Amino acid sequence: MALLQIAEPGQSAAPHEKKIGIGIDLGTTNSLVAIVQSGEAKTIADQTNAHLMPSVVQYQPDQVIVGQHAKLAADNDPKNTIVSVKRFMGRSLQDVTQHWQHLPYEFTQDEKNPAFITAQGVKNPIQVSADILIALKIRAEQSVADDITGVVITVPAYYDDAQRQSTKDAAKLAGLNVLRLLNEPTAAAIAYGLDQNTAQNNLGTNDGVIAVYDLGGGTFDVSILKLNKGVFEVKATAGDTALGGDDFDLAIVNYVGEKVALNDQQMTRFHRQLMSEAKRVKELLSTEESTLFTSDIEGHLHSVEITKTLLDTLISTTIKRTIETCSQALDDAKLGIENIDKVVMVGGSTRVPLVRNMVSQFFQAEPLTSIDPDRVVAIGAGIQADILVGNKPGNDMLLLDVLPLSLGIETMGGLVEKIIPRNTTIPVARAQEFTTFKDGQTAMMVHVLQGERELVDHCRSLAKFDLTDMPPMAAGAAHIRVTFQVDADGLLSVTAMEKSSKVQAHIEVKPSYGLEESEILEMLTASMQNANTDMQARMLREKQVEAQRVLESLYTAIEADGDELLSAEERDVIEFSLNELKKASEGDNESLITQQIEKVDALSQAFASRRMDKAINLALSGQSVDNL
Amino acid sequence: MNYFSLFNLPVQFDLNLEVLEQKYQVLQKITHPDRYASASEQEQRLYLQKNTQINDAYHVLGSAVSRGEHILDVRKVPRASEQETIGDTEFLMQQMELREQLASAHDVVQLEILNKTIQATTADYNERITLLLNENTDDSNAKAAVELNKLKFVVKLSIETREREKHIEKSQG
Repeated sequence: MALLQIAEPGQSAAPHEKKIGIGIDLGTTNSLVAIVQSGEAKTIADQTNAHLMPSVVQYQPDQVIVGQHAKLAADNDPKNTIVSVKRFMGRSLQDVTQHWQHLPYEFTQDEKNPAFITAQGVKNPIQVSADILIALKIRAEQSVADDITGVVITVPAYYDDAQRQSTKDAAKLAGLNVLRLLNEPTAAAIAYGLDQNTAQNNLGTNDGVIAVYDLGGGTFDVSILKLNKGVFEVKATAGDTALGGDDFDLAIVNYVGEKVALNDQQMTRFHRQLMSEAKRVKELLSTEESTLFTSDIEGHLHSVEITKTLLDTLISTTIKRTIETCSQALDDAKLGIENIDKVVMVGGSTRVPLVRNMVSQFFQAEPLTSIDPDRVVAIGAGIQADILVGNKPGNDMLLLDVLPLSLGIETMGGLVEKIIPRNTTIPVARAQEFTTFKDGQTAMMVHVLQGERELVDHCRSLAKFDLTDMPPMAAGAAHIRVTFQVDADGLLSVTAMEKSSKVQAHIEVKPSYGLEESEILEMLTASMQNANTDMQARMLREKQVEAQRVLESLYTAIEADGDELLSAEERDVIEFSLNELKKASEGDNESLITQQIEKVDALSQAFASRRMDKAINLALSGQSVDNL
Repeated sequence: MNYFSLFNLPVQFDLNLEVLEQKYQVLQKITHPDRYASASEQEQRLYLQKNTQINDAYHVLGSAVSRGEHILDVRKVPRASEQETIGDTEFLMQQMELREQLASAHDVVQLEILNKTIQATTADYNERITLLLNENTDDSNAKAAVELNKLKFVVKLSIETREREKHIEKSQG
């Protein structure tokens, strides 16, 4: 990648060099990558003109196959071919096998962090996902013939911390710079440009409330978004991770099974065949009034007529369940049906006419369906990535996201005390105080959980924190303030401090699911060795890029505000350190660059803070003038 | 940290919530982490902190009880103890009566009547607390602290009434 040209102080930056941001929809069944080219967001196809890439990875002894070819291999080489790995992300083995029995894989002994034993050795879900991401990254790089600056990856709005963290770790392993994890429904709303009228002309009337209804093959969720003067806000989100279009197929299979009197054994043995015929029938009935379900079971040819009316009867119960969830999301958003202005349809299963009818009937609004429901999420992610790398400086759109599931801690008797309730706007920080119950106690354990239920056993264990090195005091005298910070990606970090002594307690994080930071680093190193890439060269290059970013942003800042916000002396000091950093970044001493970045960082802290305050004051005062 | 000054608003209990929301959006547009996704780590950190603070401030100023308590904190007035609230027999009687109404309400109409009473009571408290906090003397602030505690009970009752209403609607629908 070409390093950015740095402008000397006093000069403006070189003609705007276009940075490449890509959007990735890392799906359970299929994945896509999208990019903005000539002002339009498009998904990128492979050589065979296929946009969807099956989320399937086959591990052969000497090579890794991803996508369509891997999918074709699934039947012949099930053990080494990982299908629907998304279900494993941030989950224990038991979580997965509860819903999906008879998985053809061989697993390692580790129940909490399942890993597949393949022809290429042990592969965990993060590594498998990374391989999918790498394939998408290569597809994008070939399409733009350039390096990728950053990526926006979409995740289900309902994803908990462990699942989000695992997704981010996979991206790190794939060598991608994650600009943001974006909720899938939000991405869909962006794809429809629901922000744009307001952002681009002041007469816009696009302000309003949007429902995003996402029914995939095996998952369902609905989100209520509010758009107000260019600010997109997720008001609520609800869903069901074990409900989807596959249930429609299953309903057809069960009907046919009963009709032609198949026994349990036959139903199990021919399950896959029956399901795929049901899928065909379902898809055909989106346009036809009636069709035949045909199957060949142990030499008996069966043919059952399925009409559209019959299909509607079979699947209406499942759709009703999704409508109930919609109603719950509205309640959570403290809104009524009359508030909903638009409904966005996402996921292949929304092609079923009855789904569209029932959803539009419930929300009393015509659903938006003009963008391919399979691609709409990736397209939205591509648009957001383009904005986040800075290609649209004038864009006013902003997304305010919420925490999808409450965060809490374990208290006496196995109960969970909520610290941050769900649907709180992120980023957010909340503090909680703990005290010791023994004299001289210097350590304490905090168990962090996520979920809505009251019992520890019913919530998701995220991590256990050991607070150590606390100053010994009498029982109840120590007050440890633990701060839970959730960032804009919805990821949790925890800090702790003893209040009276101001001693920073040490925290050791043991994630309950997913991997520890050190394990990720190990995997990264290992993958580098395998790929014969020079780890050090990559680290150096990343540091150099970071140095350029620091230089660029500070030179611009000094040019804009240096005269006003810096004394001559301060300015000299900062500029001297910038020159040092510039010199260091031209060399190949990585640790020297790190040192210089830290130095610049410390010296310019106050300046950065003054600039921020200035910007805030300016905006707020401009606002009060408007109000007068 | 004075959240009112963060939003460039006067310290006042009867806040115009529309103005609060406008200011919130202006602050979001300047400080949201998405604006700094490609910025230096220093800026990312700085704006993440500020944006977190703004979200917290909006949350605190957005609802009456926490807004009132924040005014007391800004004025360094201690919060009132539970004892002072429970000591008020008139208040206790009123609460018990309303709770009885909630317990015996079996249809939406009864709950609607209760809702109206709660709304009127809430409005009364808001008015009283506004006057006390506007007066801003040691005595009026201390009284406001007690009234805020009572308002907390009323708010809790209002939430429970709404939940009951939803429950009844669901079991009927």
